Amino acid sequence: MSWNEQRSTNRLRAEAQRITTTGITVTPLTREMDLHSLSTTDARLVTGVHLYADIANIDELLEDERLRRDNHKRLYRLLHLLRRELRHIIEPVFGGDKIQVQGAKFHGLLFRPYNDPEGMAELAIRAGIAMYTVLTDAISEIFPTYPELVPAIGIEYGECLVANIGVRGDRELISIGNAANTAAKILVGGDDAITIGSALYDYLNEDDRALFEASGTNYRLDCATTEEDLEAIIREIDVDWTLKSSIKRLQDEKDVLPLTDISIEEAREVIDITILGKTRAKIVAAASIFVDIDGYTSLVESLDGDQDKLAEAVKVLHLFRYELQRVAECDHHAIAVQHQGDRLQVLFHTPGDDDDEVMQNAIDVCIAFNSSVEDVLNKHHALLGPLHVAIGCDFGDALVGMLGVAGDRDPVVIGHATLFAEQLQLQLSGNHLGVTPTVYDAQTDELITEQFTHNEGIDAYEATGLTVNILEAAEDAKDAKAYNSAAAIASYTTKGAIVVGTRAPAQTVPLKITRPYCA
Amino acid sequence: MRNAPHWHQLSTARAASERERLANAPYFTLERVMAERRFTAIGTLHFKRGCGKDYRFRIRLEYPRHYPKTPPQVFDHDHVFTFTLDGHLFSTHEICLTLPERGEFTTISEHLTHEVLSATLIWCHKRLIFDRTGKWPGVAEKHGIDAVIDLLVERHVINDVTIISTWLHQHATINGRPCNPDIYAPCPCGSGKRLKFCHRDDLQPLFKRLMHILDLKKQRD
Repeated sequence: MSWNEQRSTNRLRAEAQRITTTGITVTPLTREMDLHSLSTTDARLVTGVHLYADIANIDELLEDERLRRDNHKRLYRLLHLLRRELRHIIEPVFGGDKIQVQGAKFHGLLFRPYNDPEGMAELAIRAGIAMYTVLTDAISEIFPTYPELVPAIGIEYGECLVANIGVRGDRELISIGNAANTAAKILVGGDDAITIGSALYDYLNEDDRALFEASGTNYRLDCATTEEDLEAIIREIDVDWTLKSSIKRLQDEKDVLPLTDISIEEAREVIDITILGKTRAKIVAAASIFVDIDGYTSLVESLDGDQDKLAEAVKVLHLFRYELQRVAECDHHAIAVQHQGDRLQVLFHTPGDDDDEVMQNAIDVCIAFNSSVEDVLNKHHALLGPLHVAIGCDFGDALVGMLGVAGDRDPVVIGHATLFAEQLQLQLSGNHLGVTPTVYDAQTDELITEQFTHNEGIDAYEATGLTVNILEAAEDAKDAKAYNSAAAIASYTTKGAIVVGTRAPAQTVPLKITRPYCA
Repeated sequence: MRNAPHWHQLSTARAASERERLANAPYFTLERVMAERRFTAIGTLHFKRGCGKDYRFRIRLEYPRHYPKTPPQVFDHDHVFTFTLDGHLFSTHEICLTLPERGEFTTISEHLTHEVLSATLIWCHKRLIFDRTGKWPGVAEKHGIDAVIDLLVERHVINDVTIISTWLHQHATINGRPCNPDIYAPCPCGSGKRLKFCHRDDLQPLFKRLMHILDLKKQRD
């Protein structure tokens, strides 16, 4: 099955009607509420601190021989242990909430003490330091033979919209807002450091400010070179955390999860991500796709806390999320891995097809995403004006798994292709589709390759406004030209397509071209 | 003649082999066949486009009494396409595949079914392009009498519609009603020979259609 405009229109109409009937409420988070009991129709305006902890050298870890052998079993276990420990730091220790784990990136939110930004800021930088210490000292202690991790921590304070719109029924929070975006963005280039945004810096006390140095518009604590005793900074406040306790928890968890218990095999059929877990993962050659709604965060910011408009914005996000997921899973049998804020991560593989075929079909999936947005969502459901998506796509081996325990699990896809696809998407604006040269070179259909131009700046091929309807218009022109040729020959291929040209391709059924008339 | 049996009533084997041909076409999914009196088949033509879109069109094939001497008529069963002259669709939703006198289909042949079905598939493909671009892709006949005139010109018989019109009224009507032409009348090509010894074979199949069209035109005027 492939994308179909009518099917897309019908299902969106039905979903829009359903959600209008159900209604979505947006309310500020108060002391009596938490994010654990958030239903799918409730969204909260949360003022808090966003923390991102990333492993900046994940691409090197993927290539490291010590971690590569046995299908990356060691790396997979490492990610599981880290997720568990970072979650422990954020939730019981600092009283916040884990929002999501996105590959090697952990996203947490601190929102206590309520209405006390100074208190939150004080806690947040200590949570960041604890995370950094776990990623470096604790991991080195537990795995002395493994390559060292290079953490990058990004922290920012602000208001955001938190909703629970999980893909698979698991509790899966997403947050939309500039604070989350800034925290994620300031990670880049922040290797071996804790980088904080200016909003958070403004709420720090003098002593804490002294730890940071200005770095552009942000502030940076270079943990690798600082002479400060990082653990002592955490001890300044009353939190129940020590490096030693983290090491013990990691060691205990490592002991109950020996490598022999973990099975990572090559996927021989389409992966069912729901049956994966900490002891079961897959390796697969697949296309990684990121689809991001461009300008959604700024749209939410521009609504300035207007709760009715914010409810509309959540509705728009829900419709985008609903449709993009259905395009992936229903129309193309791809895996909608995870909603990451206003972005969807998709994995596409078809065991049995060769790599070139998978890449060719992956471009079709990308075009289908853009078609749904441009030709259906923007035409019929532009409640707050048109929105566009930026799409990045690459192909390569990916480690696919599911971290966490039942009810609170995070799908994880790690691989070079995932990293490249994400970087590509981040560099593109809305209504743009970018593919790496590997994916472009595998494409044999001239109709599609003609739509792309090489962007030297990002070393990728880029298409603007590419939809199924645009492609069909180009195909119409090409077929009409072929029919107008005196020597036109038409054939029906084994894939069920009509090919018109001046010579019949091999292994096709010839079709008769007649001269129609009208009396 | 009205009560004469249809082709499928004369031989169940022929009807069975026709069903098999319909069922085996790779681009056609046979839904059902009705053969109580007239042999009629309903099914779906399907094809993909390079852009990834799938298209499916339900058609109905109505077989004539003298099949396979005459090809079946094909109808847009679900009325998906709008009747327009340039879109090559009759108001009855019959698809205009070819001018019968042009003889594009190989009648009295086992290939006829495939030829008709595949021509319909191509027609649907072209019609999609026509609906979006407003221009019929590839060669098509002109409308009305012009298509027949074109055929006569191609066969080097005449090059002027008025000549054939006048000739038909002189030699192929009785009291203004169309009839078989006088084969001893001078040939309309202007050679001076009798029609029987000149262009009879070329003109004979077209007389009825020409007369019918001219008759309609006269009624309209």
